[in-house]
This record gives sequence, structure tokens and C-alpha cells, in this order.
Amino acid sequence: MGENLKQLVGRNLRTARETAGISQEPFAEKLGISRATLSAIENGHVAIDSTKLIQASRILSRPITDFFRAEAEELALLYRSAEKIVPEEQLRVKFQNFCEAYRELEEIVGVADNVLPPPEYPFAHHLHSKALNFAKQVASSERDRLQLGKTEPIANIFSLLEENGVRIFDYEVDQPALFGLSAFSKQYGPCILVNSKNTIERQAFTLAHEYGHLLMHRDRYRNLNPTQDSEPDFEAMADEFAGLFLVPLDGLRDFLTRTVGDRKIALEDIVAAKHHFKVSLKVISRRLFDEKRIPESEKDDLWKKAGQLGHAELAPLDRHKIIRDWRETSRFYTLAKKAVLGEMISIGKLSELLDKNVLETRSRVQAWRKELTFASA
Amino acid sequence: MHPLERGEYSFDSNSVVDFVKTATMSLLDSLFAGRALLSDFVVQELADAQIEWKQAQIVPLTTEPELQLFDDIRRNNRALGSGEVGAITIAKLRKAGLITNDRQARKAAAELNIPVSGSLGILNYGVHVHQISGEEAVRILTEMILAGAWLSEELVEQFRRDVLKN
Repeated sequence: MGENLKQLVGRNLRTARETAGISQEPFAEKLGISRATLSAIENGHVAIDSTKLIQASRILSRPITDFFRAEAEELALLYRSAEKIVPEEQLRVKFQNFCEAYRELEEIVGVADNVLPPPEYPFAHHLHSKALNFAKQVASSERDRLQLGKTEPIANIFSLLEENGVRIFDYEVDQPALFGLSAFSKQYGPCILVNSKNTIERQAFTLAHEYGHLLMHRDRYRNLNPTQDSEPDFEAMADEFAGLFLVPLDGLRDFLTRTVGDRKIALEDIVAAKHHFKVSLKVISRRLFDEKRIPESEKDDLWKKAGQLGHAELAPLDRHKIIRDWRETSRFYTLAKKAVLGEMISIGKLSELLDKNVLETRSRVQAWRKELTFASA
Repeated sequence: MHPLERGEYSFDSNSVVDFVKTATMSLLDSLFAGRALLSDFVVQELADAQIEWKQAQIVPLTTEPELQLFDDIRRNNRALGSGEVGAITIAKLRKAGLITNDRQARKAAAELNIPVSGSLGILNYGVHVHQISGEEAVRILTEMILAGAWLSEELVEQFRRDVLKN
């Protein structure tokens, strides 16, 4: 006999609680029920009421729909961080919710599977002896494929990746040393979460880094526990890819020929290059060092200065412009706009998809309607 | 007799927000005293936006068949959020009407033979029972639209004609 609803909800509740690492006793206490009642609910002997279910969804940061789900695909994650820290479970759940919301919007609007994911460049130790050279080649090939040219900077990496099938979620993570997460699954495709608490320069590098993983290490998205790749090669490869994807060799040389010539590179040249390629001081100084245009001591000095700034950035890029430009064309928001203005979804549904309250959602929809009114006037 | 004059009504969040944003909750209170129902899914959505409707009766789903109905409506209507699904579920269980302005929610309710009305219907009812004048109703409606209510121009025009004709 199949599982009935109270068994299904009970099982999902237990799984969500256990995944969040909360034992029965404190969870029952938070719900205002006894441990025995919680146990009976989780074992499918007693139905949970909607009030407790809503409380549970809040405590566990899960959407209500999660508890009614017959089967769920858990996302396998890779992540990038400054230190050996593990992303909190709530963050993983938020990320998965976003990936699901994105997919659901695509299905509602009728454009699911219309954007192909980027190709795979699988790396294998036994076939490719020089990992960094491989990453370098992938960066060059991918720039060619995306018709970015040999020398041009990437105008907006958020928009570029999203236009090419990557689902991007910018989210304020309370762990500033956690730069980003990425995931790949058949159902959701490639997804990247970028920590919007970081500088915009770091966010750009994180996107490129995680994109490198998605291109080269796709077979590693298997483990359901977030994995910080233990093999240093893989992280170094993703860094190498990101550096060359954002600052291509020919582009850097061309820029230096045009702006510096043979004279010694000064700090203002480095800042100009950083702005041109839209990267951090660390990234540009690393690339200049690799090109033997600045000595190691100078690179180290710049890195030290960058380190002293903590989570700030020297001569920062215009963060708001980059994010605003992306949002104006963001596929996720375009789909959301289309769905709600075409009355394919309700305001309540949109609130859930955007993870905003009903007032915030109404304001956003009102702004979208005004855009339409102006456009049609 | 006005169709909203009798029976209970289950509200979705967005319709309540129309009255909150125009500071006319007292009108809802007097028109639906003892007859306004809120699913706890709607209560939660409103609470997230720091809104509370004290006069409404909160109706949780307490049994497996009730939860099953909620899940069935949810599965058949992916376009709706939990609040709207909760509001429809409560309307069905209590044999009440549904108050919503949302097209998808109205469609789902119609399939379950639930009578539906919205913010315009409520203002119309207020005029009918002389709680507000036609001019007041038009003013409130204008404010609702400015505050983000989305109502078809045709319906709005019809409403103006109806309430101002007397």
C-alpha cells in the first residue's frame, strides 16, 4: 500500500529536521508539542496541523511545499571559501529553494529546457597531466565559444553567465569568508550562489571560479554534503580558469601596450587595468605578475594592502551599476515579470518565488506595471 | 439582497492588503463582522508583512483530510502560493465564499464551485448597505489602485458607473 499524506509529511519533516541537525527534543519544544507527539507525527501515526507545519517550515527554512513532496532531488554542492568553513544547512536549503523556484518559473512560463547548459570540459588526471594548462585552454576555448574575443573585458559576468544557462542567485551570506556555492543537477542545471556581502570584485571572481568548476569538474557534483575540494589541483584549476577568463592574456598585453608601453607600471596603471577588466586588485596584480610586468615583491605588497582592507576593495568598481544592469536583464526576473504580468501566477506565488513578503512583492509588481504603461504610452 | 450580505468569506492576503493600504480595515470589520475567515497560511503571509487582522477568525487545518484537500488544490494549481491555496481550502471546507482579486485563484475557486468576490465587490457591498457613499467607494478604489491593486480597467469603469449612478 502506498504512503498516505500524514506518513509522507511526517517522513519529510523528519528528514528536514535531521538534515538541519536538530534533535527531536528541542524541535518539539520549539513547536510547542511533546517529543512523543513529534515522534508520532514523524512516524506518520498522527497528522500535523497547519499551524505546526508553518512553524516547522520557519524553523527549518523550508517552503511548505517541501513537506508534501513525494520525492526530492537534493543538490550536490561545491563551494569556495577563504577558510575551512562549511556552509550552514540553512544556506544550502535557500540555494536549493532558489534553484527550484527558477525551474518552476521556467515551467510555468513554458520555457523549461529552452536554454542549454554550457558544455562540459571534463578533466581527468590520467589524460591531462598539467592541470593548470588544461584550465588555461578551457578559459580560452570558452571565451571563443561565447564570442568574447581575445582581448575584450567581460562587461558584466552576471549577465553573461545567466544568458548562457547558469542560474545565478546573489544572496547575503552571514559567513563573509564563504564566497560562493555551485551546484549542478539534471533537473536544475548549473546554479551558482554568490555571497552579495563580498565586494563586487570578489563576486565576479567567485562566479568565474564556480563557472570553471561547472565546466571542468561537473562529475564532482555528486556528494550531497557540500564539498570543498580536498584536491588542491581542482581549486587551483578553477582559480586559473577564472583569472584567464576575466583577464585574457592577449587582452592584458593589448591594454598594457595601449596605456603603459615600456615604462614601469605604476599604481594608477594597475588600478586602470583593474577597472578595465572589472576584477580585484589581487587578481590584476596576480595576472601582471604572471606576465612578468611587476615583480613578486610588488605583487606581495599589493596583496598585503588588499589584505589590510579586509572585506573592502581599493578603488572599488561601481557595485550598484553592475548589479542594476544585471537585474534589468536577469532571466529570472524577466520570467517572474512575464509570469505575474501575464497573470500566469498569483502575487502570493510570486512572493514565494522571490522570497519576499506580500507588500514587497506588490511594490515590485507595481513598478513592473509602470514600466509597461510607459512603454505602451 | 447583496450577494456578500450572508455567509462566511475566506480572504487571501492580497485582498486584505488592499484595505490595509487604504486604511479602511474598519470597513472590512463592519461589513464582515463574525464572517471573515483567514487560513493560517494567509495569517503567516500577512504577519511577514507586519499585518494583523484581529477581527478575522483564524482557521487552521487540523485533520489529514483537510491537509489532503490543501495538497490536492496546491497540486492542481501550481500558479498559486500557499496563502491562496489555504484561503481556497478554508472556503471549501467551511462552505464559504472566497475574496480574492487574483485571476488564477478565481479560476481555481470556480472549479470547486466556490463563490468568488474581490475588493471591488466589497466596496460595492459597502455602498449597497450604505456604509460608504459611491464617491467614497470610488476614492478608496483609486487609492487601492495607487497602492498596487491590479484590477481590470473594464471592471473599474463598470464599478464607477454602478456606484455613482444613484
